[in-house]
Amino acid sequence: MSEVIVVTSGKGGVGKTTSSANIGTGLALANKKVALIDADIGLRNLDVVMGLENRIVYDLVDVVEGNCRLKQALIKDKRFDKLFLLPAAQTRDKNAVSPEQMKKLCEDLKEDGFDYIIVDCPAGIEQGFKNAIAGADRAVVITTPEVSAVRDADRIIGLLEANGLNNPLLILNRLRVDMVKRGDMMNIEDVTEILAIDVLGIVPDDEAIVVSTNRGEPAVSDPNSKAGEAYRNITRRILGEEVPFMKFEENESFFTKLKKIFSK
Amino acid sequence: MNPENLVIFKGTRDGINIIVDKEADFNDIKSKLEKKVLEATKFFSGAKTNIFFSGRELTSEEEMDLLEIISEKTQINITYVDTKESNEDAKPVEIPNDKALDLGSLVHEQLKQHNLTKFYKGNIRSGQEISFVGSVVIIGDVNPGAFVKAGGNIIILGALKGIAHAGCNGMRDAFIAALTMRPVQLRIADIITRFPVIEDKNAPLRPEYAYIEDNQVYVLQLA
Repeated sequence: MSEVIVVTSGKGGVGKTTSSANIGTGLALANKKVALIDADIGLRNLDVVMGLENRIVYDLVDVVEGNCRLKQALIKDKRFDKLFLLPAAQTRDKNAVSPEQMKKLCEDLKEDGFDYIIVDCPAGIEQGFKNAIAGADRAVVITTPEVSAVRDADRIIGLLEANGLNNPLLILNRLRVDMVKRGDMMNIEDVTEILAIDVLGIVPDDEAIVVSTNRGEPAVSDPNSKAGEAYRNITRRILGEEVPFMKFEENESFFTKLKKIFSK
Repeated sequence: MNPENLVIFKGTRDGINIIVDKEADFNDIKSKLEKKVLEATKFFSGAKTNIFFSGRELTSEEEMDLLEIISEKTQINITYVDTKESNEDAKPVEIPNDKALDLGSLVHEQLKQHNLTKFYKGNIRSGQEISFVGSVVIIGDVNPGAFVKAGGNIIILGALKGIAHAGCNGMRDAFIAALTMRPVQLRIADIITRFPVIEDKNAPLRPEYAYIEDNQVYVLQLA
């Protein structure tokens, strides 16, 4: 059984591409055959985040226009042998592809035996968004704990539902535990109260993500990264496992622990 | 009396005139209408027309009953409805084409608009809008960035966090009720108010309703 999952958010810069890369890699590590599609034509990033930029020969638009075969455009990630990337074209724009063509592309990938096809959606609600969701079976909505991102996520959920993609799942990205504790940041309850959809995962703000993104190595493969652990949990939940949400405890120093004991 | 004459269809330049017998039992008229409409399904299919009732004074409930039969049994697109005898001079209200066949939009001026109600189940999300000539009842939340507009009253069985506009055609005694009132803006008829920001996140949530008095919007607790 194969499934097309679109990763979307509405607002830009909340971590769609990073999440796509990590979910895709995580699924590949779980021994699933995964295709990552970068649907952000004209502003491609997924190849950079995956560290595969220098291997692009053909792209999504080439496939759609028939300049090459689908297999030729798929870049095999040598680190994770079941992971493939279909990069976006950089010299074209969103209108180079139609929703019907995207649908066909997703169908073709399904027939090629891919277990999961992850579509990295561009920001916005225009043509690019419509293309990205056209072939999707499921949607994952990314938001950060900011009112603007949550508002856009709400809009996106409405549009997804209007297009028949019901029950999208939520990833709350870049949560800062210390700020939530001080009451300076929205927590997961505040966000789900507005969005009213099921939560797929909560990813803490993690410097390691910036490092791994710049290096082109998805954090999910880093055993020491908190965010990587969150993405590993998300992957397992996508695969149907019941995984409890991570506990976000600040690393307590010995001294504060001691203080806690004495204050009891 | 010939039972064929209980209901007579008469095509006129302005639409279809449905002449209803003055004396007969209303149930007989209903069944006769249903039969006649079914016979003429082909004729009606896809047609766009106006409908007049004449021959007898119909209450608004009776009229709705008859219209229901017509819209259920046929593919006819009713653009407007009028009852000739009860209101000779009344100007019927035009209904936009896309609303045709939706029974809720079979409205004319004489029918009290706010008594027609649209029910909506589900959350209204940012960018979505619910708009209706009559009243609106929503079972779900109205999120920030969403908009609910009604000619009549608005009742939200959920949280109102977006914008609600009741009595948008000027009905000043319209009200807006919600289980949780946290709107960005409240509008009733021609009056627009900003809602005070409630800082305390843990403030008790009680159902409230808003109405106009002395050109001001008041918000009171419901019971």
